Amino acid sequence: MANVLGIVNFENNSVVIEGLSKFRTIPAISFLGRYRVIDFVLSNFVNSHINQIKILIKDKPRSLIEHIGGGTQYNINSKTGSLQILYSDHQIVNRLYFTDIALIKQYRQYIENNSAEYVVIAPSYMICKIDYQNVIHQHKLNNAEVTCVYKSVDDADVNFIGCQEVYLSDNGKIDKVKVNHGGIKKKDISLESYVFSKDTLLKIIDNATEHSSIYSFKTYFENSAKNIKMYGYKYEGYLSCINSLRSYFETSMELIDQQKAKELFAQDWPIYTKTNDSVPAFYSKSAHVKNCLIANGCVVQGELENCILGRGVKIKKGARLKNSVILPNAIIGEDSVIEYTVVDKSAKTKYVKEIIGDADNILYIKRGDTV
Amino acid sequence: MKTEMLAMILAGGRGSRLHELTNKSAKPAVYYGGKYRIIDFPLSNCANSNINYVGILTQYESILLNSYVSQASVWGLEGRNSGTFVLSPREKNSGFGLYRGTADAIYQNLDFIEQYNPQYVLILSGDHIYKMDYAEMLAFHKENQADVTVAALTVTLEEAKRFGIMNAYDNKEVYQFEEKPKEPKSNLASMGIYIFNFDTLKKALIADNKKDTAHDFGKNIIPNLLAEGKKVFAYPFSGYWKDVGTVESLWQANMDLLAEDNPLNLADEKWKIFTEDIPTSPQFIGKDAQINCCCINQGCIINGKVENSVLFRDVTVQAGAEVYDSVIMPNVVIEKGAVVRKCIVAEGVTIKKDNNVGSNDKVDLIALTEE
Repeated sequence: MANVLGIVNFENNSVVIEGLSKFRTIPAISFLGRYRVIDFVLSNFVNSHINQIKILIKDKPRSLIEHIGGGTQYNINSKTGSLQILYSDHQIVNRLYFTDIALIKQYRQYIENNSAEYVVIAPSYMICKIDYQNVIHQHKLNNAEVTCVYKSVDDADVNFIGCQEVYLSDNGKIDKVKVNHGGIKKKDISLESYVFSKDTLLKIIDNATEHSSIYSFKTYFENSAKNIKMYGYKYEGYLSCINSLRSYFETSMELIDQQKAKELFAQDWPIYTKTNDSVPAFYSKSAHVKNCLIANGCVVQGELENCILGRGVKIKKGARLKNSVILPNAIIGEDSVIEYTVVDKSAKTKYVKEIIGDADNILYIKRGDTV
Repeated sequence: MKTEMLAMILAGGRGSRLHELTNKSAKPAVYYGGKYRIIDFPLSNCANSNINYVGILTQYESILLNSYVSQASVWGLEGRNSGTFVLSPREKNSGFGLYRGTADAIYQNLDFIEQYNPQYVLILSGDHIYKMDYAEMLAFHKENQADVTVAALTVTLEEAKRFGIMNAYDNKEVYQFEEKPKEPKSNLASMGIYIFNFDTLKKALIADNKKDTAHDFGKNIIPNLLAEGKKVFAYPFSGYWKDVGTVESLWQANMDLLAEDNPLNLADEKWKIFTEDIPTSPQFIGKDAQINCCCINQGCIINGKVENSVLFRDVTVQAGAEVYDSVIMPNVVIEKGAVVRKCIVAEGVTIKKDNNVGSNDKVDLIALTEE
């Protein structure tokens, strides 16, 4: 759709994945072996024929820029399309003031001049498979000012903490938005994906900044949902929110299951990512592998069960890994026994032979460390 | 800007002993090694040797090959002063110019080469699997102030009967070139890789074109230049090199990759072989999978038993299926209970439930039969 602009929002200040986000922002975190978290929202945009994309980023731009490059791997036309990073040009005195609305305000002119009629804003940390064409279609039918995508979930007591729940009236209008603090299982959780006309977006930004310098879309809608024509779009597909080490780990584990993964990976909905030109994975004679996701460039000589290996991971002879996520280029040394652990990029296990966490206590080995 | 050396890859041959694999595509487009096509090797070697202009001469069934090699970005050759150029036979003032031999193919494209006015021209074959630094070969060529340098493989005297053989002095200056000699006097076999001074090449091709010859580098051009007293040198190459002309040799070359420390070492980060990146899902290894000594590409879903095999992207091995000593090309499905032994299974084939294909006696090719 030539007249739609897609904006990838940054995560909230509250979203920190212990360990992992010390080194990089959530969109740039390696996920399911060969992807980065941001590949999913970008692929959703591109598969919805959105060819103009802007990515809001708060900090650590290096690894993200390196990953997305010019965007040709996402099938974005290098002449008629664009993939841009919006990084704050001005110094923002305090992180409290560094909100998505404040950043878009900085680029207000830029967005106003864009020929797009509609704007879709979506965060990267909600992993889902959604066709925004359908959302925009419903948005038009409702004659809505804002359409917010939500999903009725039954695990809001443990997951989606810090996300938002929406309260809908019978005609699908959202009357109230509030933070999910858990407690109840069944809730309508916001995917923080919004559709509006460009004019409405600009109006919201102006209105928000006029009233408070620390408004974000989330807090703005918490305060103003009832004053705007905000409708819900019910999403039924796969959804996971990566906002903690536990949810990162559990989402990864859940998607090892081929049936579950089918909800996210489909022939007609490719997930694009940057190629690394790695060789196919190699399994030696001593390899035993059950229930795993393995990326290219891996060399497996040990035993694996319920694991995810990123690109170029080496599992040496005699190593036994269970329920673990190993990020790219890590080396698991001979006879290491590892369970319930996330091993970050290029880390090595060599001297400590047993690293054993459990389902409630996921261990984390720092990037580049040798243990 | 002056181009020091331009490469021309001869990629017009059919490779008829590969049977159905080359029915609809020329031999250089044949799959190899879990994710590559054979022509990725000379093209990646060019990219890694800093050769930026590469002409690819195609003739037999060239639609697939032409569209494949014209994607210059696959090998990083899409920049301003670089490119891949498809050179198929064309209609000319003098009529339609089918390529009558390797030398004639280059002769008919002298106008293309002249656009770049190179000092040296590197002639390559699109059929061979090997890694070679052509920059080192050029340095050797310059050091010897040669007119022509021919890359040479050391073979046994028995094998020598199948090659163009160079008889050379100790300093590797060639005094005689014999095409497929019955009684070889030397074990220096031509690899069909030549560096020519462009002036020498041009004169030789123009002279050859006027004569009724086979228009072949090995049979005509090199012997003629020797007769004229030109300086021809043999550049000794040591390393893995395979001409996969038959189903058996293609199978063997794939099996070579399964040896630990295999000499081709595709995992070498300093000399990557680049290939087309096709979006796929991750590689799923199921609960009941058994994998032993295999090379498996992304997009595969393995729920059965796979031993000693090379699997290309998007291959499905269902639960209860067994694959031994085989090469399974993209998008193949091996259904429940099927057993595949010592086969090359061509792209897109489905081995039906409980079917038993192949035997340990010889390599079988399983391909879709033409409608």
